[in-house]
Amino acid sequence: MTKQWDINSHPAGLREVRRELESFAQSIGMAEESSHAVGLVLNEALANIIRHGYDGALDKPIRVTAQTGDNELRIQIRDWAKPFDPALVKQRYDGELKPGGIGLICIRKLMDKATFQRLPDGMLLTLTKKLV
Amino acid sequence: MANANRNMQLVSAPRLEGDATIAGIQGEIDLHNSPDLRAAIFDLLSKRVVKRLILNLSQVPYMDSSAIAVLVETLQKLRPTGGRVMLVDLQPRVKGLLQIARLDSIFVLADSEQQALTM
Repeated sequence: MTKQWDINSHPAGLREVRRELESFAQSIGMAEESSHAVGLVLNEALANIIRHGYDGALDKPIRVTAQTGDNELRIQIRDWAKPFDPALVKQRYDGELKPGGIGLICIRKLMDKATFQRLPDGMLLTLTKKLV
Repeated sequence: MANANRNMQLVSAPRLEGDATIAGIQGEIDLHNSPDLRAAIFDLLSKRVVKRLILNLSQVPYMDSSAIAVLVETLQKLRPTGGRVMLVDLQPRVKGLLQIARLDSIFVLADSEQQALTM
């Protein structure tokens, strides 16, 4: 089963797509708590694209695709923003009193796998999480 | 004016108890409305000297990292003068995010406003 959302980079759209992804995840058998984790990760990934990739522009395209198979949920987030290299993001240390970098921690900790792929015209983030 | 109204919906009018300033936050907070949360809290801090800021989060079912960043900024602002930020009655998703980010130890967490007042 596959579901796709084509959204623009306006923060007002984050809540709806997050909730729809959480519902989709639950509809394919994912536990509620895990679906919430997936929703948070999607939110964080989209927020990073909006803030850093598109520099806060509100009208840029983002495509989210969710797909099931092999007892896992795979989410792909495609943007046409400037390249992003997660290796260059300064890591937080535990309890560090600074506001940034939390989104990337969520992506790494809450998903089973996260792969950032640089494309000629943007980025593709692929996230996977086992259903159970 | 519209922004002011949005801020008021997000953060309740603060009340004072001793050296504590207590306010409640309502609703889901993400990148869309976290700037409103920041504006409301910083407006509150600009109007009084706050030693202890107690934020009741019982009506916040969801927060993302942009909202957590506002709380961190708030603590950054208060710490140099010995101020503290106390978070009360966190819902599971909010508490979980603080734990994932390893930030649960930098705030004072309490089960109730009453408990926070005794800490």
